[in-house]
Amino acid sequence: MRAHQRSNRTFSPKVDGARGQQALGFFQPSTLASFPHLRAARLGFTILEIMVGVGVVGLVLITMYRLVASQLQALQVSREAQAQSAAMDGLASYLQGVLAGLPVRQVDCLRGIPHVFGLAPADEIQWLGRPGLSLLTSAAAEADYAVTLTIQPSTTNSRQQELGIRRRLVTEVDSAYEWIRLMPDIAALEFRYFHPSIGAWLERWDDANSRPALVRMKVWRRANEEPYEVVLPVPSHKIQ
Amino acid sequence: MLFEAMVATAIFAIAVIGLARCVEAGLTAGLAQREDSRARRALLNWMRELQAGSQAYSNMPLGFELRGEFTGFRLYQSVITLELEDQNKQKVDGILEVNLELVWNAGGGRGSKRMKFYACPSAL
Repeated sequence: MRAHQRSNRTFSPKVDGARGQQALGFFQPSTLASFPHLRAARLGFTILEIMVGVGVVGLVLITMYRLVASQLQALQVSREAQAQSAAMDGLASYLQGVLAGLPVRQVDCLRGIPHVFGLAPADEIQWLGRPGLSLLTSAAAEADYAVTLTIQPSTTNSRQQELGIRRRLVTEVDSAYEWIRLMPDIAALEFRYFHPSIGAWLERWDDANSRPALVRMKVWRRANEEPYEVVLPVPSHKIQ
Repeated sequence: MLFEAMVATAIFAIAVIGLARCVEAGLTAGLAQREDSRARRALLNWMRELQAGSQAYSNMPLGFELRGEFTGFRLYQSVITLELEDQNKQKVDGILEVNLELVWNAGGGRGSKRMKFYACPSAL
């Protein structure tokens, strides 16, 4: 009762009769003081207004959520595509470095062997190298190594293939190689070699006394997609 | 109260839509960058094939469609024989100026990339 009297000092709604006083009884006086225009008959929202308001806000929020979610998904796809593209460019740079660094006077230092795995090309390119870029390590013992860039199943009996290099000492048997994985999930790999004397692209290179002028590499991430394609020159093909 | 809440929500929605447009613009820029990188690689591949003798130094004013990864690109090639002289005023023959232009459709617009280089096919 004392509280009611105190509130009447700060706010005195003009209401008529006992019913009006009763209707205003549950309102805090300070709230009503902020809204002088509500002092009259209308003192709040109807349930319909609140439901419509909440509905509109809900629709706007759902639309925004979908918009943001789709943008984030697109951002993720774009980021993955950029990473894949950068990985492919890195692979091309690596192979370019290897081809540029082939020993000038050595014979039979580049070979290309075509293979098919499950109807898709799974070619190999093999070169002779020493510790450094071509081996992807400078910590190996100083000797001649045979390095093969190719794809192979990720695990035994796996359909998933990965791209990498096999490296072994030239003096060791073919099966005694060490596998270095460079890229996972590769569907196919193809190499072609341009023979400057013939003027044609060959699928195999086994000419020990000469080198191709160009090497074309195609890498398929997925079988139904267009491959990444790059043509790389072999600078030393003229110096023989 | 309801009106104020709706105005606030509208302002928030406009801000989020603005942010989404920024992200979209970033994605479009990324796509354009990838197209540009692909076009550069297509031109480099073609230049290397020309230099190695795999393709001919000939004028192609109508251009032609590339295939494989570069589907959607149209390549135009023009070759100009340069008339140059050395320091003794002797004619230097066999030097070509090669202009390559790659054209493609990019997001309703037209993208293009050009490359110019000099070649001496007789030195192959």
